[in-house]
Amino acid sequence: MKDYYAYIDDYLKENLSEQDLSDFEAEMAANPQLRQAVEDYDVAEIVLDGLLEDELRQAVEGATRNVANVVGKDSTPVAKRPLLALAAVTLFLLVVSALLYKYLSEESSTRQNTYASAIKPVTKGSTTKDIQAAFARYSSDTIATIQALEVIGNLESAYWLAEIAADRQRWAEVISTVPPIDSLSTIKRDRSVYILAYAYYDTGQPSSIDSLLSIYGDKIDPYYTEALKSLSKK
Amino acid sequence: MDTETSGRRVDVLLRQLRGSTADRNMALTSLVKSELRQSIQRFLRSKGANETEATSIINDVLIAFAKRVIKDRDFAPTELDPYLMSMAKYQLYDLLKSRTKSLSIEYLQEELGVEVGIDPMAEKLILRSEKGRLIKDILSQMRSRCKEVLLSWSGGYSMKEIAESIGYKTDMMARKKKSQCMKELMDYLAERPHLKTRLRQG
Repeated sequence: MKDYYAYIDDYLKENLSEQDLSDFEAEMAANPQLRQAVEDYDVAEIVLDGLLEDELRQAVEGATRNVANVVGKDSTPVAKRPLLALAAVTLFLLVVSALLYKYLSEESSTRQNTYASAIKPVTKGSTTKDIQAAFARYSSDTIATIQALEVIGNLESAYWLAEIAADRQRWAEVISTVPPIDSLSTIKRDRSVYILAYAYYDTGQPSSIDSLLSIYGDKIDPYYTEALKSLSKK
Repeated sequence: MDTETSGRRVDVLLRQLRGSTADRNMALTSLVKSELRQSIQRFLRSKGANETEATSIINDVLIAFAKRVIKDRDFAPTELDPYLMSMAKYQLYDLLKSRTKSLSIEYLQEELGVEVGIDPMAEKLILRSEKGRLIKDILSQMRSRCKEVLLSWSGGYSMKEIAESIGYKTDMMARKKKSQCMKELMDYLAERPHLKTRLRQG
């Protein structure tokens, strides 16, 4: 054990073996910097706590802003709401009609490219920003557009609808929406297996999780395999 | 919703919060969009909080809840709705008390319907406090890769998981990086004893 700084946490939590503990204490006696670091560890923990809180706050406030953008603030006087709603619906219908006209008059491949680049896949490596941007697009307008135009093909369309259902924790909908898994690309296949496993878990179908594991356990990303195993054991 | 289904939903949510960054964000987004959030918001408004205050309370509640789930791997409330509502009521009580100093603790029990006992906001938020500003300054000095490693570590991930998510070949490499970043943080604090004192204060 040479990098003593790596073991401060284990030392304070009494997780070191007898030999490592003895080495650590000997080093601490001889190394005032290490001793200081052990004494200051509680302050470092406060800073790390703040780091985690900052990350969570960004995610929660980002999601809140997205919801507010979709729903609108609730400060409008009640009497004006029906008129505004009517105006909003009219405007929405005009925009959808214009979009429909535009997309239907384009070549299928052009539309496919537009959508493929517009929606970023949500993967375990996605950053907070990616996720928020992706979810911001999953408004009811997006669902309606996907359903009405089938612009990204049936498989893709079903996959994204399943992701949206999972996002909203509508697990029964996930089960009915996920497309044939083997027809999907690797990332989407892995994600589909994963959200399907959560759906089976939520709807109390452990044997279906086992089936998923036996078919896809060796094929999918090990992260998802572990997640399936953990759901299966529960 | 029956108790079993509700229990499973809570379990799924807890797993997502303790999962990857993407899963965690998915869980937080679904909480923000949930009917539960809206009903807490309506309740807070009906008891005198304005829109901004109600939103701020709910966000703080969700952050404190997520922090607790992530840091305490054994924490598992059986039901989510009463738990989050109770946290929100304690926060509302603090808000109302800041307006009316004489507000008694009985208000919690009698008007808000909370069993007065242990504050469920056990995971105190720090970034809204004076201490929070100091921490933000310190974090702004940290290199982004160090932030990433230390964030994963404080989020309860194992060295193996950190190595995988950041792209290190072995968990030893992740451990080494974490140690290096901790040392940098420790050195920074050691040179600023006034910061340590202020961070240790309440």
